[in-house]
Amino acid sequence: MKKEILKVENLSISFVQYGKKLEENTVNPVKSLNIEIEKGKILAIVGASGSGKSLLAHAIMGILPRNATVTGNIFYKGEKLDRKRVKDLRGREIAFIPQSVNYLDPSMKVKKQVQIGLSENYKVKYQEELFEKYGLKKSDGELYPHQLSGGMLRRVLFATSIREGVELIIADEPTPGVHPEALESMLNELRELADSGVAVMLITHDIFSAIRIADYVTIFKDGEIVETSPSESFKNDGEELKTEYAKELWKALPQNRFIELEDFSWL
Amino acid sequence: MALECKDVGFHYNTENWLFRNVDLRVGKGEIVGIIGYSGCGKTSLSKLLADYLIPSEGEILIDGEKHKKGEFKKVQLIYQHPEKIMNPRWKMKEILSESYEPEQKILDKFGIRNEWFNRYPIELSGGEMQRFSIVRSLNPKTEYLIADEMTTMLDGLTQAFIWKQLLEIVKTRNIGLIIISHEKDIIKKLCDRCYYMSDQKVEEINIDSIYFIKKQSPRVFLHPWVSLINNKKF
Amino acid sequence: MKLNLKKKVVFSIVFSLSIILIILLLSIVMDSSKLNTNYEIRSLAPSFTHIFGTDWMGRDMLLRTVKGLQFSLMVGLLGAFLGVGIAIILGVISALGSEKVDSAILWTIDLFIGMPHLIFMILISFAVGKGAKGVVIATALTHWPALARLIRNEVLHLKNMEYINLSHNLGKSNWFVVRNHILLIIFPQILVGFLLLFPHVILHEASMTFLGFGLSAQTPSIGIILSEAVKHISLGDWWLVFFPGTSLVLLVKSFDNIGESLRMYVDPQMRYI
Repeated sequence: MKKEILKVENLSISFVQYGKKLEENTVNPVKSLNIEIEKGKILAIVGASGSGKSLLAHAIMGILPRNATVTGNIFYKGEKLDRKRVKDLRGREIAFIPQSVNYLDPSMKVKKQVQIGLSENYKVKYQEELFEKYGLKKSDGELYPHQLSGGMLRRVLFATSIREGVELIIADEPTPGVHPEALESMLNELRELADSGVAVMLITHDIFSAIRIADYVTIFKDGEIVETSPSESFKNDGEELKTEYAKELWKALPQNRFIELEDFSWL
Repeated sequence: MALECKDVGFHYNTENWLFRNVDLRVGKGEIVGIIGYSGCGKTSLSKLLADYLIPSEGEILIDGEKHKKGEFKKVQLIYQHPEKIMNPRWKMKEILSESYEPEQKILDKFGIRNEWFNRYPIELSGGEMQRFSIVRSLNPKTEYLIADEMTTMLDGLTQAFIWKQLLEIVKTRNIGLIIISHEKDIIKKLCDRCYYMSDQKVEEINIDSIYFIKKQSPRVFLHPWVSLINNKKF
Repeated sequence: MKLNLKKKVVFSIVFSLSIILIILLLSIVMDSSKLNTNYEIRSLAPSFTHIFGTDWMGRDMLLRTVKGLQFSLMVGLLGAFLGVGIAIILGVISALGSEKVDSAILWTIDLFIGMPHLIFMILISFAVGKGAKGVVIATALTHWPALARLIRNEVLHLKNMEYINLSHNLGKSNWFVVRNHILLIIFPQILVGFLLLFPHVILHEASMTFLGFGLSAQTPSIGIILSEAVKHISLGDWWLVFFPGTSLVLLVKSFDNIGESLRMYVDPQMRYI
């Protein structure tokens, strides 16, 4: 039996917006989407900015804005994952690594932020353990995010994101243009985590870093999945890819044919 | 005939220089790359070149002259985020004609459809907006162009398409182009020469050695992920 | 039926606008001979012929109220218009001018805000010569500061926007940028500011005339009606105060309502709720 940690079935996200006139119109940035991530595997979701890939992560984590309507089902280890359950699991079994440090609350002491999501009884003790583990002093916990150096801030964010017992990591992409060496070690670490049995969903716009570590790559376009293929299929001229769009996209990359490509009818 | 940086330095506060002693040069019709990673100051450099910011030291010369106030700037900048350089309450046709009235030929080249003219920026996709922003910067008076991470936010196909079209125009009009990017392959495939920007300085490097850039710059903004990585205790 | 926010806003605007229109319409349509003194029908309680009753000189209170409100509207319009004009000019100059100009204007704004409104207005209206002109100038000169500060902050924020910088780099003049970019963006705020000034100006006009500053006793004005009525209220002629007072509150509330609704509508954060 396949052991999928995360299964998303027919997920659609829509927002109500007010148009120019009186009517409300609904925008549908994510349309009937299906994905599965097995234990110990990395699924990369690749798409341009604005294609709705971050919304997918936010939907799974239950942190979409209130005016969003979500239909379809999300299962975590075979059980339905709703807002209440994800709130319970967030920070323990499910880790979300957000896009930026802005996710830290600037008006809350860092020790409180690390305690979020930990059970009432042992949260202080556990937070202190985490601090020790990540080389933070006890007194650092009394500081606010802006008082910490960049390096400490990242350790705090790490402490808030990933703990022992994590089974699913949802990693939203870092700012484009991170130094290659930093990117490299980051990807390696995710691979190591996956090899130790964690399921990872990696959201990125960089196909090349995706295929280097991921087991499967899902191409995302305008809120829809174009295709999901094993990473090994992304090679040469993309002959092993299933859809024409994915083939063309692959060929258009700067590392491949780039501006030598003749046919842009896909745009 | 060239756009030159002579011993340029820039800081927001005096103790913290973003970069110093920058010398670079792009001639008419030349395509020059600047490779650098987040936080190295490349956006500030591009703004200095296009006269959005004033250098703290040194000077920037265009064909031997400084930028003139109140005139059309011969150096135009194309941003990473086109939505930031468009008044959200203007229609696309007004946004274009703020610069000039482009010929149909150039609109067709970038695949700009007539129906987009009556839309507001928010009603277009990032790729569609970026095409407008490029066409707008191609004013007949433009002599130098700076493309700062121009296609970073776009999908691969649009990226290739836009570069292909822009390069053809740049070549026929003999425009000097500076491509600022973190993608080695874009620089390698499009540029004649290239500079590497890090550690508060800019140095010219051999374009064939671009793949060997490894040295980690201390000023790089590290994403939280990096801590995940550096922490081997996990 | 579930109304969405946008519909609610439009509905309340239509409602408020219709109240204002009814006042204007009545003041044109009604027969002004009812304003003549007629002691045969003095101090009548409200009835079908005189819905708001009559006063101690036999004048129809409905007509007096309507004429008074019409005057309030005119003063409000002029006062708010001038006030907004001053606010725009000073706000934009303050944001775009040199540091010295900015601090001078800010100092003036603080001065005007710090001063008690009513006393200041009375002073101004005396200084420029009393009468309707005095009221208009006094209200216009005292109501701009808050809006001017708002506009200044807005323009300060806008002037560093990338598209404004780009416009300069395309060789456009400051004047072009202000006219085509800045004013266009802040227009909704100006409109809302204008509408919200209205009720202030109307209320201050009424209080000034109530206190006996500004207008002659013949001018139909809610303030004067109310101050006269105070003398008669002890006789039990409640309608002399009740109807004109309520109408004034209704008018003021209408403008306030339109302004607030539009503000919600303009506020980008409200758009997605």
